[in-house]
Amino acid sequence: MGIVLENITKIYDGKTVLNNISLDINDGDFVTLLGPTGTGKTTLLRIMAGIERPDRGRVFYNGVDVTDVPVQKRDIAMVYQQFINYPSMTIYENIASPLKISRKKKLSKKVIDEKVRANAKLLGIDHVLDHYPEEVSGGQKQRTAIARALSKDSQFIFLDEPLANLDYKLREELRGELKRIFRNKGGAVVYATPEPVDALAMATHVGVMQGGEVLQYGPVQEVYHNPSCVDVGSYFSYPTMNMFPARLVKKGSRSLLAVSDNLQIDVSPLSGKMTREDYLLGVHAYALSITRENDTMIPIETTVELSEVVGSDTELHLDYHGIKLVMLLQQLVSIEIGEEIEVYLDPDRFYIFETATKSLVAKTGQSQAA
Amino acid sequence: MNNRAVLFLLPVIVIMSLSAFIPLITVVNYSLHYIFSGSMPQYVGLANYVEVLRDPEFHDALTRQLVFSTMVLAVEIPLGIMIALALPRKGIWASISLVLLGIPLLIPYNVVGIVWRLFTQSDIGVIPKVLGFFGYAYNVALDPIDAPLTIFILDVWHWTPLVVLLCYAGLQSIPDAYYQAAQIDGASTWKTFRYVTLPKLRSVLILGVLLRFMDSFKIYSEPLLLTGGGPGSSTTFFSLFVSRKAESYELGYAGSVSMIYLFIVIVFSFVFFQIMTNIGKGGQTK
Repeated sequence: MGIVLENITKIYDGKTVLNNISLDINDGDFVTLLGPTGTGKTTLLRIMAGIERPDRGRVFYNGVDVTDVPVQKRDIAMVYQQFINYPSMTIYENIASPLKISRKKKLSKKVIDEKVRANAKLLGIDHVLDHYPEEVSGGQKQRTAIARALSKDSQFIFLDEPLANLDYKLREELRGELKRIFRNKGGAVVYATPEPVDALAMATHVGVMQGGEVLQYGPVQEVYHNPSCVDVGSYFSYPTMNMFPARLVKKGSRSLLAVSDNLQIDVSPLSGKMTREDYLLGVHAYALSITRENDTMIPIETTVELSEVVGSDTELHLDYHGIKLVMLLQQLVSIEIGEEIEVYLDPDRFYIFETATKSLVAKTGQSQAA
Repeated sequence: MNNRAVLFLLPVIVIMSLSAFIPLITVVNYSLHYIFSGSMPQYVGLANYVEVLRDPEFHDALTRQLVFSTMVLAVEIPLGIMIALALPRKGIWASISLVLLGIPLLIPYNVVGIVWRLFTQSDIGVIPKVLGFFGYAYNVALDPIDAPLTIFILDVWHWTPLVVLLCYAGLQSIPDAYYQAAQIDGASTWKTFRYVTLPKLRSVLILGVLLRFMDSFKIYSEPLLLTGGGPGSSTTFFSLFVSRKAESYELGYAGSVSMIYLFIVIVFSFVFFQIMTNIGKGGQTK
């Protein structure tokens, strides 16, 4: 039971916006489609929902081909980035609207009333039911839209950047609530977003998209810890993953990936997998440290270019021989711009990507343990 | 301390006084006097108003005007919405249609009057020729039904494009997601129009109704040029009626008609505005 996409391709004006995408989404999955603006997330979502037809490929709901079934006849609900509610209806009527407007199944007034009140309560808008959308706040408008989607009791719910137009505080708040609401719902939820945090905070699965393709799809933790390529690694991490260009050099019997004279990583155990000269060493921002936690850590001299406070963390932007680095410290520190600081790298926490193919070769820590 | 603020208000006060307030007061003053050419005005209180309100000519002009304005609203607003919905949304044809629609709005009133006069002239006009071909003896100068009907059609031709342009702009600003949401809900075309398009057009429609009501209530140059208010008084709409009175030097009488005229326009506009801002918000959605 779930949604299956088979070789979906969509072309607008001769430009391929979706290229041969296949996905397998099961009931109970909370899937985020993650990627920057213009990568085709919304288009893919609309094709899944049936608002648009793919130029090639098929869409299956529960094993049944629904590619040619119009959206009206599908059992789905959708929430948009804009707060979409019927302007001339009260919040109550809006939540009831999918049950009243539709030409098919008619429910009794009592059943509708119960559903509306239950969903309103779930989203914390039961005190504004008599108001009109234009009279309530942005957050409440979007809560209404979500309650509307829920009241349809669809097997599949699609959300297209639903939190994008809300301010920071509301976004945080709703993110937590959405996880609670949708994780218990049954059916599948597909959620398009440009924010890695959304995927990390709510989803069970993530599909990282770029240039009309799904680069990697899988359980959130799996994708996060084993990015298949440079693009997934750098996009699906917050802040973005640091990349050191490195060269493979032989020193006696040892193989080293050398970034500079003092930053060299021993990759001898992996030498069988390493056939090229140029590699990228990826390391998460939080894996950089300002204290030397053990002797194996490699110190590098960097210059501070920018220091900014993000929530309760400090994000340091550093320069190391022209390589731009970002470091995340889970504390508030004040460091002058231009200051030289020593930063420590754990040789066991690197991702090795091939420069030419961008694909992941290995992770340093695991390989040496193995 | 803030006395100097008055200085800043002065220009506005002076300009407003000269352009609106003083003329208005003058009219109020006239409306309370009997004035005959060259003679001393004689204060008569509300006598002019009483006379106006009892005058059957006034009743006729007012009724004629109300019927005309009602017809204008009843036809131009729905027609405007329909045309706006039918227009292409983008591409070269959208631009071409908008320009074509805009043409009537660009023609000065008096030219419109002259053009239609030529159209309808009983000896050379194209309209009498065509209608005559179908067996209808059209005569704008003699027939008391043909004349107001022609002015009505002229007005529809002239001003529906304004409603179209307003609605078109309103339609363009409705995000696609609204239509998709209605589609997902399984709404019919009518329900989509009823619950998405119409409420979203509310503010431009308020504007359209108010503009068309006030403008149609002031219609003047078209009947003046086309029919001169005739035949009989069949096209003597309100402004024409007022100006006839003023032209015949019944300044006191014309003054009080003007005041009543102003009062009617304000009251109607206010009522329209109230009704329309509350429709769709006031729960009449069932």
